[in-house]
Amino acid sequence: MPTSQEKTSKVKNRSPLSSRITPYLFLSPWMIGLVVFSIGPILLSLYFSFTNFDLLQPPNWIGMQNYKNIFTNDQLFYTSLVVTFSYILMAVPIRLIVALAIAMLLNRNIKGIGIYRAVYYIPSLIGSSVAVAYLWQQIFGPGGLFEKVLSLLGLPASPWIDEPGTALFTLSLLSAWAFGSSMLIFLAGLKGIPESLYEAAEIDGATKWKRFVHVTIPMLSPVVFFNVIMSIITAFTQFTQGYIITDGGPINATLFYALYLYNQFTYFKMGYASALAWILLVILGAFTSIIFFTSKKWVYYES
Amino acid sequence: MNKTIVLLTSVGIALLPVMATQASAHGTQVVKRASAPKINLTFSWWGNATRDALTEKAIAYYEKLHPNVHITPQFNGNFDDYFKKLTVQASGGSEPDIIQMDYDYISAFGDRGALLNLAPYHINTKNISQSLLKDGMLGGKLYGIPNSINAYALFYNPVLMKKAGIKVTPNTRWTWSQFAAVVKKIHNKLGIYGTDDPEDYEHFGYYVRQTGKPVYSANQKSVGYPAITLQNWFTYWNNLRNAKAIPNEAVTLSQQMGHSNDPFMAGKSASIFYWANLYESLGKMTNQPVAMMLPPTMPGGKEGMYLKPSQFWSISATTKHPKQSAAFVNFLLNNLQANQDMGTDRGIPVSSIIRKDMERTANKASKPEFAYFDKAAAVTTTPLGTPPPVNNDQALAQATTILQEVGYGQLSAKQGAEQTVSQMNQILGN
Repeated sequence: MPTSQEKTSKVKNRSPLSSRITPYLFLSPWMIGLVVFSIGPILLSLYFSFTNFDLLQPPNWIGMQNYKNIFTNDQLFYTSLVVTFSYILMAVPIRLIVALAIAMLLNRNIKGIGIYRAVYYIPSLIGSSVAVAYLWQQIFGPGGLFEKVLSLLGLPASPWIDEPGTALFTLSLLSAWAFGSSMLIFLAGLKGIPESLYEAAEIDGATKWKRFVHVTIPMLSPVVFFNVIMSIITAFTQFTQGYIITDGGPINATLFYALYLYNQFTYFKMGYASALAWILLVILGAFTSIIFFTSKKWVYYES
Repeated sequence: MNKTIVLLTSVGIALLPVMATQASAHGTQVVKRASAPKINLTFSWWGNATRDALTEKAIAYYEKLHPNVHITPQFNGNFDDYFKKLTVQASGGSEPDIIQMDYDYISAFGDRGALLNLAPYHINTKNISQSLLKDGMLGGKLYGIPNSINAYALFYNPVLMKKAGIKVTPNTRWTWSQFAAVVKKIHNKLGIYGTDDPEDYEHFGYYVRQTGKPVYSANQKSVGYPAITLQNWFTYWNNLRNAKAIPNEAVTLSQQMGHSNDPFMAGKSASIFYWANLYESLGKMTNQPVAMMLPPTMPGGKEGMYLKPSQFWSISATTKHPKQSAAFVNFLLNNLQANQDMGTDRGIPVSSIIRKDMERTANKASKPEFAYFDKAAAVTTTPLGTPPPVNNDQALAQATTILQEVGYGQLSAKQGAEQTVSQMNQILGN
């Protein structure tokens, strides 16, 4: 290993140009990947969004026509937005509450806690897979486990996945089921809260609930903030479950924005799909910045 | 990101069996003939396991006749997935050489330049009726040759009909109102459904033709019928649904999403509107006896029956072996052995000569299918017409949603009809 002394002397000896190039050469595999597979397609999709590109014939420039059609002439665009926002409103809170509850359960010194943590993380490893989507379809589909449980309890049994009123909620449950990554982050956050704060609160006579509300929640708020943002972004781009389990149905009840965008592609409307993708980017950006902006009011940083 | 990953993996998964078959085929065939350069063709269709097995038989026979050609089949399961995959393949320039094409999609692919004009390739079509050949013709270019004829049929379960005390003779053909009475009677007597809900735009097309109007206007920029026609159709089925004589919308939706089977298959419904080529597979899929009759008539209306190309054989515009692909299509259309191997699973073969031979040697299982096609051909008065316009797939998706909303009671028959017409016109007009 050369010492730092040697390094600087070597650099000095070389021509300034090559010394500037070297780091870029080391970066180049990543840089080429970024340009070819990310930036290139991203810019291309921006261009396509102003064309009538149909994948097979060369694109024609049509200006803002796609955007105009989306906003003024496309009922399903609004349907998919409503579906996506409803999904976020259901899936994100359910998932975060479940994740926090489990994290608090696991934040204890009991025997074999490591095993429990591993077990509770397993659903997240397979949660968004195609196989689990099929499993969900079996459970909530006609004649599935869930229907049987409902009828055992004497409740009106129906396949929730096939009913326009309940299909989206069923998919939200699937997302909540894969709570592992949020849970882990919560757990790390919980471990970072100094024990002394709880002791002080206890001496002051605070109940368990008060300790949770006045110590845990404020101390955890940066972690909550992070989890909220990540969950919302994941929810916005939800695709697999709606595609595999319901294919947007019944009656567009699970027509996620990403799924609607994909459908345009299957109709050869690549230009239109690109425009939808850019609108999604703007919506996501706006949404995230709103949360960032309000975070000053509810996120507590110690320093 | 999720989307890209799903797309990539699904394409990868879809290609796995293809790669596997290719690998194994190379392994076994390398020894045979090293002299002639081996030509690899890919051939893809949608269907079910029955069709896969029948088609593979024909492929094996072709490979025996032409040892220098190797044909890799691509199995694709159901219709919707097939076309989603084909779109991805077409956009990536990796279309299979020989493509099974559908009447509703031939414009979407043909007009955009994804299909080869077959006219210059000397495929023998002289035994195919001219009006049928026209169905694959777009702007003077032959983008697909019909492989077999299909006709709309009312399938019924003779045992259940008898149980309900309904007499069906070989020549029975009900009017729509008689049919409604039959459906209700079955429901009242047996407590099962009289028929499955034919909630599909294509089924409505038959009804439109009975009113004497075309499904699409002459310039194909709009629908060809007035909204009242669709409203009447909605009302007719709403009445039966309200009487519980046909399944409710939840049952139909579940079945459309592939979550459950048609009630007809389980003997929970006495009839179903379907395509006649499915006669044999339907018989295999259900343990129930199955028979066919002509669908209901409209008193004072026109004849709605038409003969439709079940599918087309098309060739990719980007194929490296247009001549060899065309030779294979020629074989599929005109070789008796190939057609006997494939049977009537796709419908009745288009070539009049092949058809005669097959009808003569037809087994007990497929005889009724030939008989039904003769019956259908005898009543048919008008040809099917030009394939639907280029935006048809999107328009159909829109129409399907509205059909479901009406079935669910979210829209009235009148609202549903008006929305369908205006939204389809908007998509088709673009």
